Amino acid sequence: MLAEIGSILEGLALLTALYGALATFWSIRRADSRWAASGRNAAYSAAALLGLALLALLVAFLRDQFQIAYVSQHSSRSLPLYLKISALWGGQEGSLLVWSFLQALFTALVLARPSERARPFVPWATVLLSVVTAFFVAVTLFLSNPFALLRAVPADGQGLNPLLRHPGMVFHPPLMYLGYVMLALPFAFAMAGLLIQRVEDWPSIARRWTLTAWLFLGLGLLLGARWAYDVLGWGGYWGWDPVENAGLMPWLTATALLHGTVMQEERKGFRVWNLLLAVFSFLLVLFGTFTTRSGMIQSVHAFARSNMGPYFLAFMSLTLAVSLALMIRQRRSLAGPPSTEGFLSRDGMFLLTLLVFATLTVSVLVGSLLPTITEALSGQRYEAGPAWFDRVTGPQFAALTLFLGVCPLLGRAAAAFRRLRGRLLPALVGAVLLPVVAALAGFTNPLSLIGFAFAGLAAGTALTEWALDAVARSRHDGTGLLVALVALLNRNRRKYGGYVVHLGVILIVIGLIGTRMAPFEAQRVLDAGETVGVGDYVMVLEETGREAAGDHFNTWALLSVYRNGQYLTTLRPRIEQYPTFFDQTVAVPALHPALREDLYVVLAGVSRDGSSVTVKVFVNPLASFLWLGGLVLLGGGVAALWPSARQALPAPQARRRALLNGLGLAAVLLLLAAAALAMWGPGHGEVNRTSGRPLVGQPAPGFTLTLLDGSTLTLAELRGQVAVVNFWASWCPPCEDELPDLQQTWSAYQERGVTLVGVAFRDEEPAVRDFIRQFSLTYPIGLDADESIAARYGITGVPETFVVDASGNVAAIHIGPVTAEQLAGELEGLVGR
Amino acid sequence: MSIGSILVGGAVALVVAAFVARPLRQARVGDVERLIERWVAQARAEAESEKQEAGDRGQEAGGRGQEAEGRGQEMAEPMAFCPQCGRRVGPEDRFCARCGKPLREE
Repeated sequence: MLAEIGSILEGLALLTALYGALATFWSIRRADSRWAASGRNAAYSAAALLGLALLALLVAFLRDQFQIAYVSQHSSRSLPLYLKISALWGGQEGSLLVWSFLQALFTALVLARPSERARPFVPWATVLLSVVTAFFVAVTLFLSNPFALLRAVPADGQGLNPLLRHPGMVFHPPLMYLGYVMLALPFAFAMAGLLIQRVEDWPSIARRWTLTAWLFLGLGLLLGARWAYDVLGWGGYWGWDPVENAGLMPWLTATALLHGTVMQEERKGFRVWNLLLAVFSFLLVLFGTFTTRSGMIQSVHAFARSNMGPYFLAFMSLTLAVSLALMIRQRRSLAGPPSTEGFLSRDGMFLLTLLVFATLTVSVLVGSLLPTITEALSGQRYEAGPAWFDRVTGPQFAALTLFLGVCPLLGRAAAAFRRLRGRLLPALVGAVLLPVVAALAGFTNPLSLIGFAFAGLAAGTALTEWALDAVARSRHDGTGLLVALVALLNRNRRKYGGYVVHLGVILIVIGLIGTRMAPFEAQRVLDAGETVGVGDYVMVLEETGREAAGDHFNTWALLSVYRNGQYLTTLRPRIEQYPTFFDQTVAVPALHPALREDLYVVLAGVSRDGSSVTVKVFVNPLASFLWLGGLVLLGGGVAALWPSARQALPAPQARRRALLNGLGLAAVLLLLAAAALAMWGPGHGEVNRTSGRPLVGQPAPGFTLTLLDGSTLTLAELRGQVAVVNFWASWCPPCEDELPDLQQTWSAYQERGVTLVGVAFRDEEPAVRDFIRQFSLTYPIGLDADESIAARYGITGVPETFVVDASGNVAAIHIGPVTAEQLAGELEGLVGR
Repeated sequence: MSIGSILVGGAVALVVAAFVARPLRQARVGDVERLIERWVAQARAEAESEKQEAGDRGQEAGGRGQEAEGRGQEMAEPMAFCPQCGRRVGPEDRFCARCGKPLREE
């Protein structure tokens, strides 16, 4: 019954959305506000109906209604709750329903309480948005209905694709869909502007929607990249996958549109540019969803092949045709004010920037379509790989970074030189300082140094702009510099929020240069206890293990990592195997993030007996800058979105506005904090250890052990002699096995200046005494009651034995039980000296 | 399709239909407007026909008839334009039909 109700709700929503479009259209023709009100109610109803349909699907997931095909394909009885919820958008059909709902929701939001300025645009915008909603609902209902039923009800579902079982699944797709859906809004405002002949101020009126869409899409892209980095285990975060590109392209055009809005508000023209950018942002969104869902491209992201491709293509063509027709019809009003500036002015540079954004988008588009085009033309599929994309887009990104630094330096051409003089110096300082710092840190590739120079220039410019303005303000107001800095942000959030965004971009650029131009990758085989060098790092395989966890098996390895002789961290990469999901395996990497570089280890394989592993080690320089820059960028976007101090509203309205603003701010900050936690928080395969095992050749950590007879033994006392420190426990069978060997060694070497010490780990005195009696142990044994000795030696289990030479350095380490022969072999070498 | 689904679906459909149709039932104001529009149209038509006759008579006089027509049009139709988008609007319109701007101080 749930499925039937869901389908009925979808059908009703379709009818309501169509009616809403028609009614609003009729209200425009007939100047009849009743039809407009009816259309408005229809839009609200469509949103409510789709919300209910989504709720029905959610209930179906929560109640394991496996007779619904979609539920059985993406869920199972044992799936955790949060993944059952996010399975709503995990597949083709569900994600379309989510999209339809969001589209209807934002249509309703646009016309709910429009500002005075936006009111004239609302009727036509409503018509367009209702049509778009109707299209998506129609596609969902007729071509890809999540409520389709299975003929036979399975006992349990297939479960969610293991790759998707990650908190990223909760955030990344919904944020992407929010961004996509909201990019229809500037498009609707643009077309409405053309229709009511107000082509000058539509960008400014639509600005908040454009910025919010840009923010959501940006955050979605950032989290998607981070998720890939965390889980997919190929060491990277952006593969120029066609679906990734489908998200990037509208984000690029939206960025350009945001800048074009500023220019148009300053009466600098760019009318045609902004119209085209709004149209193409929306078209690229449609294109993106078309490529993902039509089966046209191969990708880990792509949904199964379906038959909705031609419909999307048709809708895209229709949208393009109508948009161009409207623009041509209104072409006379599109000519902007003639520019009196030369090329080397802010306007001129901005045009150049727009051009680069355009070529960048086109490059990515061509690259994404290359396989399809070449297949259509020649029958052969040529894939544009990541190397191609990096080569083609790299210089364009570099150019954009350069413009980022240069544009603010140029004001009006006339005053350019005067302006330049004051601001050029700090920018140049940045342009020199950053490459020098980078070179000192080890980045010597000349291309990357050029990139750092551009980034430094941009950083210098952005910081100077803000600093100079703050200085001026503090002088004017008589306040401190810091206060002035913040006050500027409060007064003109758009401008200074924009600077923060630029700083975020610069940080991302630094991260891109590091990870793209100087990555390091190596594959190593490690045997248990063996130390292996990888780059600057030394790794020791501690142990491996295999355990069952719910519906999958984990095969893990514990690796101690040292750098420059110092213990760094212990990593635990693992392989997850899902026998219930087509035996799919997921290699979950272990990550040690740091400012200079990330150490990223993936388990490639474990030998059958668990004694050796193959690992892939990636060193990703400056990777943390990417995530940091992303958060800064989004923070700046939020600041820019925030309304600046406006004229005072009457008290109740002002309070309400303050409350809403406060709630919105809290929600956004919470989201960013959650994102930060997801990136740098726990759960990346690092095991918290106070210190690591000393390496062979390093000094053995000192300790004082209270022996069972009450006396104390200090390692320092044994300097000049050879010591064997054995960690064991009575509850450990292999420890029991080696006790006779240890006693034998003690008897043999006691007279020759070797001291054998037994340290009982997490043990009880009665049990220890019992074993001493049972095996007739005569060497000194004590209890490591507070586990401090064990912590100092970084042991990961028992038994472990350390042989310390006369000068106090570790001569040999045994992880696992040791035999008398082994010890004898080592001791002979040490004692003989 | 089970009975339950049909009932629930039907109920929802009714609620939505009522909600959507509600504004349309505010017949009073709209009807008055349409009434006024019809009177104005009638008055225009009468003025038109009178003008036509004058025009016919005027045609014999040639150009003068055209002038009368022009003046007649002007008198029969007071010119009003939307202050926002410039579209010609009727004297009793409350909203501009093209851009939606409210035309009355209310």
